Amino acid sequence: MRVLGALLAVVVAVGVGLFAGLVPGHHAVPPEVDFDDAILAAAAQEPPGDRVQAAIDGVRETGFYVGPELRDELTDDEVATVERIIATAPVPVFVVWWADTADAGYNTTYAALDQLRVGVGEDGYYAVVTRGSYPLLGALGYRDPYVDADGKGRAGAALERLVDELAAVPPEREFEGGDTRSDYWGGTGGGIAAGLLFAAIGYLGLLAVVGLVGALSRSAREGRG
Amino acid sequence: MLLSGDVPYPDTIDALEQALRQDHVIVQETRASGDTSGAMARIGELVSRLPFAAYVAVIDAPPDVDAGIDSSRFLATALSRRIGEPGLYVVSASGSPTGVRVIGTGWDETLFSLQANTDSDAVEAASGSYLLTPTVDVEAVLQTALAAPPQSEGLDYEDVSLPDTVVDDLAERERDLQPYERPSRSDLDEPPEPWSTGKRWMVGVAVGAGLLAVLLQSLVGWPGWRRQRGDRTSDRPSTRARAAGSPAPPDIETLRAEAGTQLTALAETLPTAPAGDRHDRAALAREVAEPLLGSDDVLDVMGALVLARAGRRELAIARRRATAPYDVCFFDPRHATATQVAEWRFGDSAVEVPVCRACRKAVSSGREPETLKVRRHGRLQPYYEGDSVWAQTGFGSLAADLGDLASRVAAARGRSR
Repeated sequence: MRVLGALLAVVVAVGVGLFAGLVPGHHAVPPEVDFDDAILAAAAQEPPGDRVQAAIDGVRETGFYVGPELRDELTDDEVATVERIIATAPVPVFVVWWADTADAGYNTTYAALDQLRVGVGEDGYYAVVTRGSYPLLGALGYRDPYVDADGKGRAGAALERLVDELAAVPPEREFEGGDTRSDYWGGTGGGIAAGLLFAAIGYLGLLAVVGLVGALSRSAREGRG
Repeated sequence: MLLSGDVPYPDTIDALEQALRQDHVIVQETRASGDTSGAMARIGELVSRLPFAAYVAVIDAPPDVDAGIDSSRFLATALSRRIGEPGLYVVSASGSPTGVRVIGTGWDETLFSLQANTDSDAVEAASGSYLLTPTVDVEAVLQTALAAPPQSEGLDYEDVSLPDTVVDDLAERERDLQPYERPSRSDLDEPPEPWSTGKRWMVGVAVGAGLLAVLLQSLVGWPGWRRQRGDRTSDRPSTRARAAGSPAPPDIETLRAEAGTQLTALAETLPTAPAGDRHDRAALAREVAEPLLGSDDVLDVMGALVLARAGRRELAIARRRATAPYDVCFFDPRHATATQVAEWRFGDSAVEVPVCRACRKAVSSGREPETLKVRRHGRLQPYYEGDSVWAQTGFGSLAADLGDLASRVAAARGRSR
């Protein structure tokens, strides 16, 4: 009788498991949405304000733009050094150095970087730098660069270190085409392992709760007796 | 008035003073919401229509200003004192609300500020913005000045002084100057992906294995919960209770017949048994048991059966045909002979009671032994939860010997009569 019950339980569990695993979640595969493409498309819908437009025009000329509030901060030699490094870099580099603000037509530096990339529109590395902070980096046509330069120290030296490192980043073209989505659960093996883990956690939790409730109700019964 | 195309960025209050003396309107690019020249033109035009001088700065606070949220008000005061000219001083410094001072114009500064707040609130409400952009807020202040604000307490500054067309114009500009915001991932409204192979395995295995564990656990019983009666038959060791066929309350007439048979056998054996203590106990048991035979209480009839059997066992020992007295299982006298003890709780105290092997096993594994139950107040209860002499003596399992049991039963019967 008990063996029959166990067999019946196995049949029911396998049936319900097959249903749960195979029936839901079937619909057409949507095209992969690239977040960077989406934010660039959104930025293209909004004309930049005068501050970002000035930066776009500035970096198009020399690759380096300094906000009007910081024009006296760098010497001519420091500006020339930065522009020379940019001019000799293997990948086009566009650097904006200005003061942080949320009242100039964009709410964050990320938004300004998006508008800058759309406005310039050339493949290369882009950096928006505020004094003393790690630069905000982006790219068009290449993978986003990574640099160690953290923006600390004297402004001229910090900018020179940044463009030096940007110029030395190995140019890796952005991956294009194909679906980059991966199976979050790690395929068949990962899915089985995760399923067993969740089942074990749920079962043990239920066991603990049922045992606790049983013990408490028995204790209450004996107390009344 | 001079309006410079090259906007200064003064580092100190002194430098700001000098810049304002030259250009009465300074709007820095960092505070102009992307429309510096437009803001300067609009503010300059408003300033030129005022009946007195006005100094307007929409700026990042110079580094030597350390007034926090009061920076704008502090700068307006400092500039009005340093420049020293009668007029309106309006400063919007980063991180603080617009500061306004009205000096030497004959206007009540407090009433003007209150009216300006009312008008700014009206523009905010019309634009749907909870905080005006700096240049629009300054424009609203200047428009309030142009609208001839109340100059005595008899006039109500809680009414909007700006014409509707001005409010609508400012509200539209406020909407136009909203900063560009990068959309977040949640804004992209990405459609859900179909389930991957791994996810299907994960869900299927989690549901199937979890359900299987629950079902199998239900088959063997959940810890802490006693099994329902009657759902476990094939794995139990053989007991007389099972031989009786049902854990339901015993049938009184069947018991009566069996007790009668046993009592008759006891009565027939007594005259030929050797005299002595065991004979005396057996005789007492018979004497006590016989009146119980006619009782309507199933426990009394069960007690008669136990007394008769125990008496026969005493005589068998006296005849050397048995060695051990009749020991009943505490949980049900119909069970096998009590050869074990088990700890059982009565309220807060725990006692050891004689039990059969099956009941000992049940207690050890946390299950309820199959117990003699009788219907009381409409529901079945273990006999030992009552207040009968059988509950007190456990049908002899809690008594010292047969003599003790028979005496206590006789005493209880005597009290009840």
